[in-house]
Amino acid sequence: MKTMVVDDEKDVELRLRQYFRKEIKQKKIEFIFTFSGDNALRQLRNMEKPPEIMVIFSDINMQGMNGLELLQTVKRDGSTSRVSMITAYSDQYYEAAMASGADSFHTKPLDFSILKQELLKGEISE
Amino acid sequence: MNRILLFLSLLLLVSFATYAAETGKPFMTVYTSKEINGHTQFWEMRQDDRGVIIVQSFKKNAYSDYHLNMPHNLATYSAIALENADAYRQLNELLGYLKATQEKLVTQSKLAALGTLTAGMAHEIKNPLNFVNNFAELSKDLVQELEQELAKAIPDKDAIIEILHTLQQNDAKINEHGRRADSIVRSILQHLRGNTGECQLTDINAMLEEDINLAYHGMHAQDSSFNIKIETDLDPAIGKLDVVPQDSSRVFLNIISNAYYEAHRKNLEQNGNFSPKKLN
Repeated sequence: MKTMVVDDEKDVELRLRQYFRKEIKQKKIEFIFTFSGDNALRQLRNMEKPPEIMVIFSDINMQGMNGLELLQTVKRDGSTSRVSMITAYSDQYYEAAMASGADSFHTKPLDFSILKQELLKGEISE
Repeated sequence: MNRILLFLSLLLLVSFATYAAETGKPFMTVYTSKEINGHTQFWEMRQDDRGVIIVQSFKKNAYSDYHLNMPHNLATYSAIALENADAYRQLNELLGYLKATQEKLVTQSKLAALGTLTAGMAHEIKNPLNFVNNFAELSKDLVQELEQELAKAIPDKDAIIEILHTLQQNDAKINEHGRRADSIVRSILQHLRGNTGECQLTDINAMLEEDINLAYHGMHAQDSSFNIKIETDLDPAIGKLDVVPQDSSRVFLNIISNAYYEAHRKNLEQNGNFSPKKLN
């Protein structure tokens, strides 16, 4: 299952690849990392339909297009990808994220086991 | 005799004048003596009288109006001098007050900048610390994996090398993010330690980048709806300049925070359509 992660902190990639190394090896999860909202949107729009990306995890606070704008645009584009929002700013974005159609909401520091559950749940229902 | 008395009276006047100047009560009036019920009543103190000029003679009606003119003039000039002295004292007081107020304002602006810094720093420091924690935890898992691998009858050498490689990588990342957190703390300490007022060769662009970030997180900590697109176009040719880093950084922080505040306000006013253009 293809998962896109959008975060302007580049080491997020290294961290997630290591945490999910077994799932990656077993080809249960395939990660695509992008480091800005604009870049994420460009990649998503260039992909074949129906979307290969099953889940998008996006940080909210990024320079340029932020996570909420990305979420709104992706949903407006009619994407069927699940979109999860991640933020370091506790719960203050929760309502805005949910109102914009987020499928789930996480706060940093991330609890990877919850992320794993969410990803593998998607895997089972696939 | 009259002359001596007048001289003594002038001495008296000077001491009264000094007293008046010290207490700041400048008024002075001249009275001539009056006969009341057979007694000579010399003067009648009023509440705002602060000095007395006495001119005495053993002769009756020794002084004409012409003579009295002199102490009268003296009294008038003394009163003016005392009033001036008082005005000067009040002015000095006001100046002191203004100076104190100005100092207070400067302190407040320093505190405001510090508040911005602290909020910004608290957030900025969270990210590297998360990475430190995460990579340390991942390494713990890797060590377990390594132990399992080594416990096997025939350990997989490639797997062990891979784990060791990842451990090395994590160690480097822990170090990198630890340093990042450390440099943020160091920069806030620099601001907190107050100002040595000494010029140092300072990387202006690095300082500006840091302040842009700190001000951003500072604004965000105060107003969660704050979000802004930041484009920087810094001329690398500026290099290092000899400046007082704390002062320059505070100026940057204040200007950037003001700009953020205003851009955010305009953006709210225009329903999110405010996008200023860069002038070339």
